[in-house]
Amino acid sequence: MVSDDLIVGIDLGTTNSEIAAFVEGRVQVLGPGATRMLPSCVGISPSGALLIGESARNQQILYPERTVRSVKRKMGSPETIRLADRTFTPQELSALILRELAEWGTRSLGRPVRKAVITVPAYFSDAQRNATREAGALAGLDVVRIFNEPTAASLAYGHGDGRRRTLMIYDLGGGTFDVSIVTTEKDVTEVLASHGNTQLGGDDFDQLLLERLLAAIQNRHGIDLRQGHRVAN
Amino acid sequence: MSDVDQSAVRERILERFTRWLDEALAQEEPPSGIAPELFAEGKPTPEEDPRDLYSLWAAATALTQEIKLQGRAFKELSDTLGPGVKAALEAQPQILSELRATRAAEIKRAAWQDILDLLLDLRDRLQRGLSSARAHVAKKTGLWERLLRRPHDATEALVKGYELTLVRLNEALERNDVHEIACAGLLFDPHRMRAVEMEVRPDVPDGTVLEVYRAGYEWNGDAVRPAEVKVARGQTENDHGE
Repeated sequence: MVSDDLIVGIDLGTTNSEIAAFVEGRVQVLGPGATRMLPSCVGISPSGALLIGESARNQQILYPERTVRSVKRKMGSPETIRLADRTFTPQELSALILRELAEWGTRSLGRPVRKAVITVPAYFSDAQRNATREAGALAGLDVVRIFNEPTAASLAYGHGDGRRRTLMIYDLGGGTFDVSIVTTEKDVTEVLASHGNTQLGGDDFDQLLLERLLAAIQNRHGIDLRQGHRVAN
Repeated sequence: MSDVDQSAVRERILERFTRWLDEALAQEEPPSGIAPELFAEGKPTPEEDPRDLYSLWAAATALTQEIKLQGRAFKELSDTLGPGVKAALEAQPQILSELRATRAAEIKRAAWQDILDLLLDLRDRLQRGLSSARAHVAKKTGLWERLLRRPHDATEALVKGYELTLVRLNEALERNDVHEIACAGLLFDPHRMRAVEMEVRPDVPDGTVLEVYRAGYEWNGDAVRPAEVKVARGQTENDHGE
């Protein structure tokens, strides 16, 4: 396969993003580290260096005015985002994330990544889809298709026997929760309905568990770990 | 050989050549993409049957010329592309070998990462245990007891045990090029540290690491686990984020 034939799949998520490719007969998630997930986070350090992914997330508590997360929620809106003394559109920030993912792909595959399919929530409007496509173009990618996330999931898990099925697909992400009802038959997937909560995700579950643990420790031992107790460090 | 014999031999040779040519062409599939009527047009009518000596000789000459031209064109192509093709063919095994090496390194890294996570967790626990044991010894050992040089009790033996285990573990990590990330008192580095707390401190330079809550480690120069740190800010700016 020559480089131009290669089309990668990109999950441009609210909290984390991933890139994958179908190579050597199977889908492989590409990138460094154990998780191969890029936090969807962009920042600018005090020295002016651009930070993408984990390094940006690492400085978020320290420099919140220089860091942005969950850009996906702003895609398609005319809103701009200020980082330090610079202003970005949501597309520009998403493009930085996409470009970093493409570099991950290029390093893992040993050949340039130029074409991509990017997934978006089924409920994304045309404006949001166009903004995603524009972000891909800004990242130097030829976005061959914008794909509904539940459709991609149904292809990944239900592809094969060609029988007609009606499925419920839920996508529990870090910051959002989407549910879709789809029918699949052969290679065709139709999204019948899709809905979600853009303010609910795994991070909220973590927070609730943390609060529950803190309350339990306070009840049992009389120690409030929120008050800077040494153990909480 | 008489003229009559020569003529008969030539006739026989040409006849055999013609038959061979017909058989060879009959066994081949016509080239794809050419309309059948074009083949029909090429077939000779009985009136213009080319199997006379002149036509065959002309065809053989044209064929010889065509082969010469093709040969020359191939040589030119070979001379032009030769070095590039040769380099590409020679590079292919190298590229494949590099890709395999990269993949092998990735697999090795993933396997080692799991072990490393376990070792680093073990090191953190041992260090916490050592700190607690040392604090216990310091509390129990008052001035008089230190002056009287009381024999080591169980806690002191425990401290010694922790220390020996940590030294051994540190040696193993160092030998595998795993090093603790130096943080305290240095400027915050987002590639190797994670800020988990911030404190406004006008008395120290902005971004100075005040305290290390959890040690970070780097392996072969890459941060395998960022250090979790508390960092000073000289003056907070207004939040403009999302």
